Amino acid sequence: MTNPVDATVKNRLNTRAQRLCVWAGPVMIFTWLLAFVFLCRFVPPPSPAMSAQQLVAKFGEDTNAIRLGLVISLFSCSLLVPFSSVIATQMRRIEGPRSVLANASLVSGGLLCVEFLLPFAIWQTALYRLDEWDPKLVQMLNDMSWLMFLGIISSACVQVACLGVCVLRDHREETIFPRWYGYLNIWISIMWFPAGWIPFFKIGAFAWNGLMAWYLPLTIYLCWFIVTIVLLLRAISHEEREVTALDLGHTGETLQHDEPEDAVLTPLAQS
Amino acid sequence: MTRAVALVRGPVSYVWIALVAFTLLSWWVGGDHGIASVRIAGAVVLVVAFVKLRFVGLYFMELRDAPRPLRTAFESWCVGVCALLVVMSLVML
Amino acid sequence: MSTVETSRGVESARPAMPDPARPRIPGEAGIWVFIGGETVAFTFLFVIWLYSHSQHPDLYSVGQQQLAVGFGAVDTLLLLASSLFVVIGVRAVRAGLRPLGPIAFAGGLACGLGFAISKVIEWGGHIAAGQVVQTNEFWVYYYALTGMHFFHLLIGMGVLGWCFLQARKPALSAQRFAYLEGGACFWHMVDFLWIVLFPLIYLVR
Repeated sequence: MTNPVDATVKNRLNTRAQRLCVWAGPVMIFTWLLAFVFLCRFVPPPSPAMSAQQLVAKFGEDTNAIRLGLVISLFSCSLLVPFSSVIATQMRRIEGPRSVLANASLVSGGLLCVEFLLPFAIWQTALYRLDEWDPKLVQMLNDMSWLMFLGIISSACVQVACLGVCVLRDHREETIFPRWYGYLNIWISIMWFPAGWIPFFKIGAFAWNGLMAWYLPLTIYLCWFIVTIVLLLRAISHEEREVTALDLGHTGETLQHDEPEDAVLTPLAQS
Repeated sequence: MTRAVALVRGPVSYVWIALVAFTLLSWWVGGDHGIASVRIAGAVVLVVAFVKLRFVGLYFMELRDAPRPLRTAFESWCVGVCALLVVMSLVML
Repeated sequence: MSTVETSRGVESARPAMPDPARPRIPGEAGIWVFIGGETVAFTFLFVIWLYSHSQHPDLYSVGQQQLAVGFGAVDTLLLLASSLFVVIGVRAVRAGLRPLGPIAFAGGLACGLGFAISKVIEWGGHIAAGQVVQTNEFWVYYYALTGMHFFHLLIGMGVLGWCFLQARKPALSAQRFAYLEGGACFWHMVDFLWIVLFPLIYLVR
């Protein structure tokens, strides 16, 4: 029998704010992807093998669209922080007060946000005086952006690895996240690894426009968001129901001791 | 030592010896003194590799005792990827 | 007393015949999400290698002549030996053979270390000869594929180190033993990925 969730339980568990933070995730990933694909047209990315002149010509095609895409990306990526925060909150349910993995995951998520923001600002710099600057400088700024944007993947790896380890360390009867999700996160952490090696490659699948360094990690990131959103929402609802059931059980117990039997039914009857 | 031998008595040790033999065979076939056609030699070593891989999965990873869906997934991956790579090597190289 | 227990252990550890009526998942279900994902990722690498090979046949034919097939073959044998050690290790732990379990895992780890040293020597030779990752497409993918595998080997060595520590314990919980089996499967995966990479990189001309 499922009990409707009491408003006090919702307040106590901060459920509405938690759900708000979860929905920050899809808003972030879809707004950013749309801006990146349709405005910046960075999918496929400009090839690292492109000459400086070709790059300036590409950026010159519709500079304002790229600028707009970057501004939208800057705003959307900040939503990574609330999303990381709700992940860490659910991790804390597993770890208890000494929640080292949750903290590590939260801080890594925050760092990842910064690692998104800075390259966007550098691209904006490259575009700011596109016609005045030496094409070589534009190329350098573009290199710097990609190397930062994709190359600094380590903190994302730590974020999901901590989440994965934490999920596997959940020893309660009914786990907060399914165990396969723990292994999935550790696998994702490994799959992002090639993105960190882009400084060595200008051509092929391991360059910043290649399958292993860009398309595969990006696809996995998108899938990770979808799976994580579903599991977070499930975890939050589950906690609500659990606490509600526990409250009713408690009330029931105390009533059984102190009150006549009719009173036991009252809270249930209200439902 | 005897204990260790007792532990792997039976199919596992035969499989292991076969794996070592296959490795040496591939080395020889893949070298210049094996089969005359480079293409056919390439296809043969690929097939041998996937046969070895299947043995590792079934006997070392114990997938032979696994539930059917898992074993089927593994074996179909072996067959599918082996076929893909062999066809690629024959057609494209 | 320990002898009695041990001999019984060996008895029960004799490889059981496959029993389709009572299938069991090696490790636990989740580990297969992981191993499946890794295997799919490496499938991309196999295909990328052959595709790039077909696009640059000249670079690959020159490059493959410069590779030392001996290294690749010895590496394969080292990993096969390590896999056998790991099989013995898991069975020893299952049978409660305490001194044998850790020794077997240490043996597997030593073979893994041998592979790592051999790879570093092999890379060192190519780098000294000026064959580096920026040279051309062949070397890009040679380093990328062997490097990705090497990374998994290092993770696998960490896993085997953990298995070694677990095998030394007098008893393991069911969960720990599932991790041990899962870790062993991960190591076998490192082995079987190299079983494909070796012919693909060194032998398929």
